[in-house]
Amino acid sequence: MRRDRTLKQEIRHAFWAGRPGRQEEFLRQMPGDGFAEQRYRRAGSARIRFYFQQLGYIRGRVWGCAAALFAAVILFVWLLPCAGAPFFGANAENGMLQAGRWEAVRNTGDALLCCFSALLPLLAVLLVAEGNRSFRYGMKEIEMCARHSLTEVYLARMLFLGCGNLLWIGAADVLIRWTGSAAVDFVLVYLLVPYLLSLSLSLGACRRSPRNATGGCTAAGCAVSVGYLLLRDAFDIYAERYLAYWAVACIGLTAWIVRQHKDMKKIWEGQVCS
Amino acid sequence: MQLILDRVSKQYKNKIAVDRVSLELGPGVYGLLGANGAGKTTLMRMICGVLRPDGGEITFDGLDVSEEAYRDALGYLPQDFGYYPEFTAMDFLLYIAAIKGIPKREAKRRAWELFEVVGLEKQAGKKVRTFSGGMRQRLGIAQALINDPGLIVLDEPTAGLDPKERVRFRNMIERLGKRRIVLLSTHIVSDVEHVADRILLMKDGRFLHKAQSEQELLDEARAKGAVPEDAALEDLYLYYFRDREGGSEEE
Repeated sequence: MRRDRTLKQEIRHAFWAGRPGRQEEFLRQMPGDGFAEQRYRRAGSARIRFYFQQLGYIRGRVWGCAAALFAAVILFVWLLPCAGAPFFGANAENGMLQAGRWEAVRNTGDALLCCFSALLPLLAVLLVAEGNRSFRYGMKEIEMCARHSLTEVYLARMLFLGCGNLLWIGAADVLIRWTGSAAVDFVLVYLLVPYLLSLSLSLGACRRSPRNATGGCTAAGCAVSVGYLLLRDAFDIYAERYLAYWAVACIGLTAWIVRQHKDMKKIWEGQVCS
Repeated sequence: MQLILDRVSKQYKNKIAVDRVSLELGPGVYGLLGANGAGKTTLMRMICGVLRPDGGEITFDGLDVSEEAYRDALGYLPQDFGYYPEFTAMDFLLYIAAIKGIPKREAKRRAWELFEVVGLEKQAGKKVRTFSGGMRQRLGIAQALINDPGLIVLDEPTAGLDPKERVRFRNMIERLGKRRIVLLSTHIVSDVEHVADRILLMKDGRFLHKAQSEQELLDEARAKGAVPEDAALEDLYLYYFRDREGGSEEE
């Protein structure tokens, strides 16, 4: 009996586990009662799952509108050769002289660039308006104090909508290049500038008055759209001598958008009252 | 389980909404009572991380208010809250569960439980925009509880509820307060009277009295001769907030 006790003591001494470190923290995370148990269980839940859940909460009509805008351009350009379309210059009419409609469409690159550029500001409005829903519908307070905060909700929406818009612009770019626009070398820059301008003006409207920004965003998108068409009519905006301005505009607008997001993050995180 | 507010302040331009408030709260129901503009909502928003304090610190079980784990333990019912117009009541709760990081299956189970608790089980499939004010408020209470929070902050929770619902709500809060911290802001004195273990009286961004029971508050006021012997909490409220409510000293 005595020998057993001595043996136990010796074993305990030899295999001493050391003083407990961070015991309090460990105990706090232990599943036990109520919320602690829930929190423990949810700790492992993947952030990716949250992001994909947010994809499901983007309204179908946003994707539908984006697809409709794209389809409208294609349809318009498809019908263009039949109408003669003097507005879009010689390429379309030249196309008509060719054997068929398909060949005619293949010569309407400038018309496509014009149509896509004029409609891209509206795509930007759709993106900003969908991202701003929390403020518009008064959900921001509830979302701000949830585990995945308003910043994450916004980022998730922007991630998917931004990818959608990039696909849209990429497809437009490919189509314009395929149809042989005169401005083929810098199509992406020409497409991005009206999009980014509309995006930054819409974000500005959201920053000023998050709850009532929809009207401001729509007005900004329409103004950029109409302004682009007027400018295109008045000047040869795709001339090589203006290329530097396009590049500067593209970089400047991107920087402005990043800056606006930084300011908006302060609202999302409660540093500034909206 | 402990919520600690350490010299928390908030200023809007030249108005101090919350003035160096310090507080330590353990499990129980706390009634935050004060006139309009006393700083109740600002304080609650800061506790929920919706507003960042200009000074001071807020922690729950050692977790800072800005941490994800803090928000994970939090349930908040704002004074005014909206909803996405296409949402049914079930969609609404599932959405809230999603942003609170609750897996879908568990969220559905919790949602049905809560619909039963707040008496909305028959309306689960109906659009929220068709709900009355009281039904919306009940849905708001359900969303605050969906993550089984340890810290529950309810800003004017009984606004728009009919008497039957108020009683049901009070019972629910009483149950919840046994193992959690429930902070309840209202200017409806009878709500606090029935539910709160302790009453926090707030005026001009400061606590006049904190963490005292209703009886202690009344005894103190009676001793001062401020209220009659048979006075209730309502009389006490009028005594403390008479200036702001536009009343005179004689009232």
